[in-house]
Amino acid sequence: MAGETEADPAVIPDGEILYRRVKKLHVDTANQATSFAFKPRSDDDDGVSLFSASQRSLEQVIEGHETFGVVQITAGEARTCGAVLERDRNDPSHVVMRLPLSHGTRRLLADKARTIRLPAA
Amino acid sequence: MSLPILEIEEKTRTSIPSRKVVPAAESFSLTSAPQRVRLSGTNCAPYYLVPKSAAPQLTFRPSGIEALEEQLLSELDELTKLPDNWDAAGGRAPKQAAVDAASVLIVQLGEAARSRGIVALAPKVVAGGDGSVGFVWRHPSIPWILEVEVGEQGATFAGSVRGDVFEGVLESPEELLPLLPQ
Repeated sequence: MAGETEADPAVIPDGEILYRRVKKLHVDTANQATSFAFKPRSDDDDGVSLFSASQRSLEQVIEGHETFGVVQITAGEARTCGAVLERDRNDPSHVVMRLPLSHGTRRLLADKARTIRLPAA
Repeated sequence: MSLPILEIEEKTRTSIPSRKVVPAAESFSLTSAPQRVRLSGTNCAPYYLVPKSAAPQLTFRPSGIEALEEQLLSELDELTKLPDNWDAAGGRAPKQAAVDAASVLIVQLGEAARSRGIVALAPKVVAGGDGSVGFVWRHPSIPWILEVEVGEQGATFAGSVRGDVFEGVLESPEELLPLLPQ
């Protein structure tokens, strides 16, 4: 029908909640994310891995990674920090975040992230 | 005029005094938030940043900061035992060069802080997936965060104060001192 378009599964709405697994070495004394939680490997072409809450439950995110904590941020919040988000075509629950490598940019991202599961190690 | 009370609790592995209650100086800005500011150790971080003018009669601090330095150096050394993929996301093991540079930085920062009268430093040691290491200070009662990141290419700092983010290249530990809450 004219005027209707099917939602593109690759599109990540601003309201989409994204999970990021973190270790104790990624969080501060208040267990809040630091910029280190959003630092990709130096040779990493894929950016930072996140998981779509609409596609993967929190339990699924930590399955096999029980000592990890989890922080969450919305796609819109990440974008306001300058991040570019891309959904993995082969795994729609996997979102790759590419962002400027500036320390301050990652700090801004950490400010917006909220811890929803504490890391045990 | 009665001064607000600053309550400081010290928790270290070798601590002797358990608690001191002292009148804070009028210029001590931290007291403007809560009337009583309780600075106590959490996890393995026994000290927070305290301007010397805030509590001039505290006498345990020189030994305290040395204990803190020792603790931080020990924690940095532990990072060298991490294997590749320590974060299960392909993260690289902390680089020895980064750990060495961070160790030097924390000692120099302690010396600079002592010489300026800022004597209590309690960062948390952190690590990144690219082999970098660093320190994070979070103020216990106001939205104030300072991070230092040390990698093979040098050191940077970034932080946020009440939502405003700042960043820069760190060339000397003394550059961090003006960023401390005074």
